[in-house]
Amino acid sequence: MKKYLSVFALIAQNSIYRIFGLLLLLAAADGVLAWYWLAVKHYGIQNMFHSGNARFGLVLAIVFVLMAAVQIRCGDIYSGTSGYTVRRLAISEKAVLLLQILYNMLCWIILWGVQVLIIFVICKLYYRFGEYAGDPLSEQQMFLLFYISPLLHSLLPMEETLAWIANLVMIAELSISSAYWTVRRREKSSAADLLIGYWTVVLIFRRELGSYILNVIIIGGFLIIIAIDCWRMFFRKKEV
Amino acid sequence: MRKTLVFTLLLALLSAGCIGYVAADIYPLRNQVAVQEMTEGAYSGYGNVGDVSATAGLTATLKADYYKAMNWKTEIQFGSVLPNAETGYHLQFPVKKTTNYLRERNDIDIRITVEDVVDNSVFAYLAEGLEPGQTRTEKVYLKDFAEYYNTDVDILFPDVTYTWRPSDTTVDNKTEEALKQLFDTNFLFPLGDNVSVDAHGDCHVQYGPGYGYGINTSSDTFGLNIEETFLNDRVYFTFNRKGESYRDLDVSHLPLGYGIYCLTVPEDGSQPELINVCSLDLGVKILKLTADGSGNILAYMVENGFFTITVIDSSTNSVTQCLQLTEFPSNSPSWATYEEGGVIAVTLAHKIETRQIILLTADENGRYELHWNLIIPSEDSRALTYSDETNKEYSYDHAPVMAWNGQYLAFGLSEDHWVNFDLALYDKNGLAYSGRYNTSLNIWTVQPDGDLPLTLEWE
Repeated sequence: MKKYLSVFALIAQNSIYRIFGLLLLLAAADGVLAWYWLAVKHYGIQNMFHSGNARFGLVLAIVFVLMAAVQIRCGDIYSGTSGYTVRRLAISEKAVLLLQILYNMLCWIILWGVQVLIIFVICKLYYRFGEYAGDPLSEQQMFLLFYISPLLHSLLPMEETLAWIANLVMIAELSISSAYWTVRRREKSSAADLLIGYWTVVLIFRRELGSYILNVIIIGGFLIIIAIDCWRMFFRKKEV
Repeated sequence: MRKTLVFTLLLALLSAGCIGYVAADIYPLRNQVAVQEMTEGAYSGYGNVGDVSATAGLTATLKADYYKAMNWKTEIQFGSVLPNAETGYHLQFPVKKTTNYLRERNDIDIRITVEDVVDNSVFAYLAEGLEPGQTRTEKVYLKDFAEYYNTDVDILFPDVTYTWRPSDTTVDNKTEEALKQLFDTNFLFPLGDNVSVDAHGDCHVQYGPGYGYGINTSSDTFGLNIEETFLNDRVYFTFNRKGESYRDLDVSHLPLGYGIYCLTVPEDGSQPELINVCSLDLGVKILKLTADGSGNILAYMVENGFFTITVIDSSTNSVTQCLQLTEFPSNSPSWATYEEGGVIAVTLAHKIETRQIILLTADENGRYELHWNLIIPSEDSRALTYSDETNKEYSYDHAPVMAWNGQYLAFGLSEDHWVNFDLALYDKNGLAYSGRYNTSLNIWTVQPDGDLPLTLEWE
């Protein structure tokens, strides 16, 4: 067990602080956007999140891409000084891959949770100190925002179980892709096809309430990609 | 390395916890609809009037939805500035995004048309002797070929639609065939002497001679200005002799005469029936037909310069009362009517500075009698809506609702696209209270229910 934790820590050490930096960047950018739209432009929180023009989605997409890049660049623990340590621990490469996938998953969950928290804090601050502070009619509107704004609804789909599943499947696929990417890099083979998953997430993550068909397509499509990637990673070759 | 491990796991745990916490914090708000009386100044132009305690015992039910997916039904008990509100909420799919938010309603449309009143073959002579590529056009007066217009009809019952066009060679079912027969034989409007079409003949290079006719501006094709009300398998309807695109329609050829018709279309598929339940004078102007909820059909009309109500008992299809309410000025005043459980209220704007509310209540025999006839200053006319200039009854998408408790007549009016409403109470002395209520659902794209957003009820 200890060796697995050690390898996990090695994987984390390579990138977690960079990822933490990206999260700080996300919080800062969202904070600036909220300040600009609410305090400078007096746009109102409904308009800010509902219109889609406030660029919160763009900031999230940029951080998402940067995070994917960090995972890909820093995910290969066989290179550099950590490579020697890993080999000494006598742990199979499959197990290392699984730990990498697990770590990547945690990273995406961290991004998800932090983004939800940032928006929640912005809403809370707005309703507590903004122009409608203390208005009994404004309390419920936070709930409505998370349904009416496609971005917020995709982050927190509430009762829409299928959207939760779609989010989790996307996280699983991205995590596997990032891990597989490092393998392909090590093998010096092209990994361009793996970009499809990332771009798809950037393009379709924002889903409106009741996007039943889209969620089914996401779940189905990403499960297929997961199956293909797993097969190529774990079964096609005897040992990666 | 241990620090990194702990940091990573802690961060992941906190993030997952955040998602759960935020969801748990927000989700209980789903049915926490708050309703607040807007005080003077909070909403420009809506100073509240009277004491809110007059509303004690009044309950409003407010329905709203977000594209029919998120649905709220809030019961509001009045009596204080922050009324007590309880909300039922449910989510259902699919999301229904429609540009025309109003639901399809029961409807009957009759269009009078020259379409197919003559067979195209009568214009074959226009194609005779033409060289390929040549055409010949002629203005033809239809009176020379046919006596009556054709009818083009749509009848929309809640669950079934009957529709036919003059050019239809087949109909969907026996009921529709019988209905077409009824309308073809009973709605006979003679073609005027000046009704003409552009007949044409040509000789196509490849296909040879062709002929037909096109409707032009003098063809007098128009939709009847119909007033209707549906009651189970029946539709009561009539039409005005003057419409937006026609005037002084010749009704002398109607076999049943000009009047209010009752069309029964039995759900068991048996033969439909059309009868005239109330003959009308040629000079009458029909304002509205509606059911009063007590088995009567009410026909609001202007007859000899007076606003009148004709009450038709739907069980016998006979006229039971003709009530002359008040003078109806010739300058197209605005008006509105409300019917609810044995009570009729009519509002009328005679002049700019005054409004009139007429209240009729039913006695123990179900006969309506005058209860109030109030003249009130226009600045005290809250939550009353009036017809627009073309005499369409309401200038709003949603009709106002009414409730009567023997002392106060309450009117409620939902906003068109926002989940807010106005409330006004009148008593025998005039306006007793008026207030504007905003709700926490007052957010763009959450809309009042398209059918009946607001209802009022006294305890």
